[in-house]
Amino acid sequence: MEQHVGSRIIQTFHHFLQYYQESNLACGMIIARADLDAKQLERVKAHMERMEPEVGVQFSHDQEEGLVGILLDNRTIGYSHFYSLYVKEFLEDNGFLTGPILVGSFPESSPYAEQMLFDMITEIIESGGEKGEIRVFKKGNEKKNDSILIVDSDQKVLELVTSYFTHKGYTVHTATDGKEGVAQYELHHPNLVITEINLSALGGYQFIHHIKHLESIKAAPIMVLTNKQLEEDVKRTFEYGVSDYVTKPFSLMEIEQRMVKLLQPVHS
Amino acid sequence: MREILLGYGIFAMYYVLTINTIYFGIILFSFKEISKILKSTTFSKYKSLSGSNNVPPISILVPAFNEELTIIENVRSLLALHYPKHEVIVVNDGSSDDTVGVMIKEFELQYYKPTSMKDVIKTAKVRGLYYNPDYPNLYVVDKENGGKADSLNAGINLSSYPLISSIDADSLLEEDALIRIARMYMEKPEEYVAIGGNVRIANGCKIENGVVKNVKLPKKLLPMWQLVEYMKAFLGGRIGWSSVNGLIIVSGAFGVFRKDYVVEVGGYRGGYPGEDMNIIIKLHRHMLENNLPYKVAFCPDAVCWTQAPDTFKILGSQRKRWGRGNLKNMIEEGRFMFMRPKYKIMGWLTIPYNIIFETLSPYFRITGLLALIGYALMDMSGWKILLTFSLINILYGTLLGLGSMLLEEIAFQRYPRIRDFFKMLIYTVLMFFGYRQLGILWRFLGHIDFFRKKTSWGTMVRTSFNEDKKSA
Repeated sequence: MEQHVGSRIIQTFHHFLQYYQESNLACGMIIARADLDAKQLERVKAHMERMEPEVGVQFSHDQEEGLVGILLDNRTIGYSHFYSLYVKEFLEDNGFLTGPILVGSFPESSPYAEQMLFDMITEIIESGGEKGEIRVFKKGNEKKNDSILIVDSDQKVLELVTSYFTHKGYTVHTATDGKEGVAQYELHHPNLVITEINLSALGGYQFIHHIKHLESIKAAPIMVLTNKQLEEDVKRTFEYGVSDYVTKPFSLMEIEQRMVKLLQPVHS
Repeated sequence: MREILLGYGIFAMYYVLTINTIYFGIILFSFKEISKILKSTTFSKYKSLSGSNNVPPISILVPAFNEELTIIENVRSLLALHYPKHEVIVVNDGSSDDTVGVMIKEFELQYYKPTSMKDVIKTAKVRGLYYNPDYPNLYVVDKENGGKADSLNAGINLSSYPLISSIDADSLLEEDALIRIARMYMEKPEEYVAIGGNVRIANGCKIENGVVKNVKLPKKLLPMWQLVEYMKAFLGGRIGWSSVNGLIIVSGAFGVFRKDYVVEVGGYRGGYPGEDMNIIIKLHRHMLENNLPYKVAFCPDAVCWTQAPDTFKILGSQRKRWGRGNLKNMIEEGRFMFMRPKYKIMGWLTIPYNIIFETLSPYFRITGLLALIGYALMDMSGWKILLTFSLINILYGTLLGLGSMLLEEIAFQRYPRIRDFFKMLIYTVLMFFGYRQLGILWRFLGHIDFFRKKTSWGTMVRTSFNEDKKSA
């Protein structure tokens, strides 16, 4: 077996994962960025067994890479996430934690247990992230290569949508006004555009009109995400040829469901 | 002779002290009010309001005279305001440049005969309207030159909504400025006849596509002085005046009015500057004479950014214009309200304060200073009096400036850095060495212009909105 990142954890869990894979039993996986030696790992173990005595758990760590791996017997992603909160708290209190925590579960997150562990380790090493941030691992193989352009003057909306959908495997481009929106659209040819109507530099309607009538690029479906709830605005945007209209305050879940609908014809 | 000079000088000193003391009282009222303002703004959901069906629609009137350089950017940012229903009416006041042309080109406007214009208020001849259905809430009115007030009246004639907002073509509104004023108006729609916004100095800020991206203090001396001056006038002054309903002015740069009352008092009166103060005094008079419950309010969190003059010449002509307008308003409207019980706070406090301490201040101050200097020259021991007086004046003034800066820091924190705070403080003190005296002088020169029947607007040269661009 060649030497690669976090290989110690992979070696430790190798047999377990084979067993889970063959018998198709569920298991939770947690990978945390933490700096500790074998002794300190024992402390983590002891603490966690006190906190959650019912669960069958395996610990492993890779000191060179600064990683800790945890395997939870017959547990769903929901439980693993809950378990990771305790882990995070203990690691933080003792000053072991150095980066994010990644949570996944077999077979929920991926049908290939060993590959999944490997992917998780790669992701946590390559993608970085906030210290103490807990992320749920998403299978990379069926990665949607759809890209979205979101245009809104509200920085918070951009951040929220970007982090959520990047996480879901989409590529997200952002713009804060109509002019920038057109530039981004021409540059990246996104599969879907989400836009506010209240835009400066180039108004929302003009922006929609502009990208609907570009010669060079096939028009992407447009979803309007706006504060405006007036009947006439809704009517007018549909006249301009948008595909969907969502008002703020919005739910990311709802946006995602509607988005999937709009993007379907692209895949078929 | 010496005693007379000294006596008069001391009288002038007390005069200045009284101004400061009244101002101090007003600032106290502002402090009382600020917590209310903070609560009401913190717990308002402006985002959902800005799309709500229940917010009254507003017609924004933009008088434009020779604005070809900035008009497009400004109209775009006005169209993008976060507001459920508003229309933007640009009124070209017979510009000698291509203001209408650039608008037509940018927004692909079509010419229409002005048949749809109502003739509610008489205005100069309207040549035509320009409109494009793709921009359903943008209208351009092209008319013969008639002045700013006349343009506003033409805008009123075309407007279709119950609220009007007057905006200077060289000002930029923050995207939620309108909705913040509307929220205030919606509390008591039957009482609010006019609500003014907070004018801030844009010099030094980074501006892109008609949006203020990055707030910084001006780098230059004159704009910096004006910044502390505006802060004192708006935060220290207007919040307090508005809490006792004695506000005498809503800035021409940005205010919202009930159209029906503006029409009832005969619209904006043209022919001279000071139309913003004039309309407010007329509204006060009208409402008080008819015993109607009303409020003229100031909304400090609705922000309008304006480009302050950065040369002595332009600033001087602006201040002379203000002096002229103020004097004319006091002679035409103010004297009928002076000390009349019928006019309540306006009659007992606002108008007398304005006449005695604003309009007449150059005379008292200049003569008082001359008397003291004369006395000091005659009697060498007199300089101590001069010095003591100046020190008291400066300390008092600084205290007031500090008060308004505290209001700013409590409520808005637009200039969060400690450095900025001290910079503003330093300029507050520096104001007493040159700037204040110049202001008094300009006001006096404005009065002279008035008596010489000068009616022109004076110079106002537009500069680009970005300081950085110019210095680069």
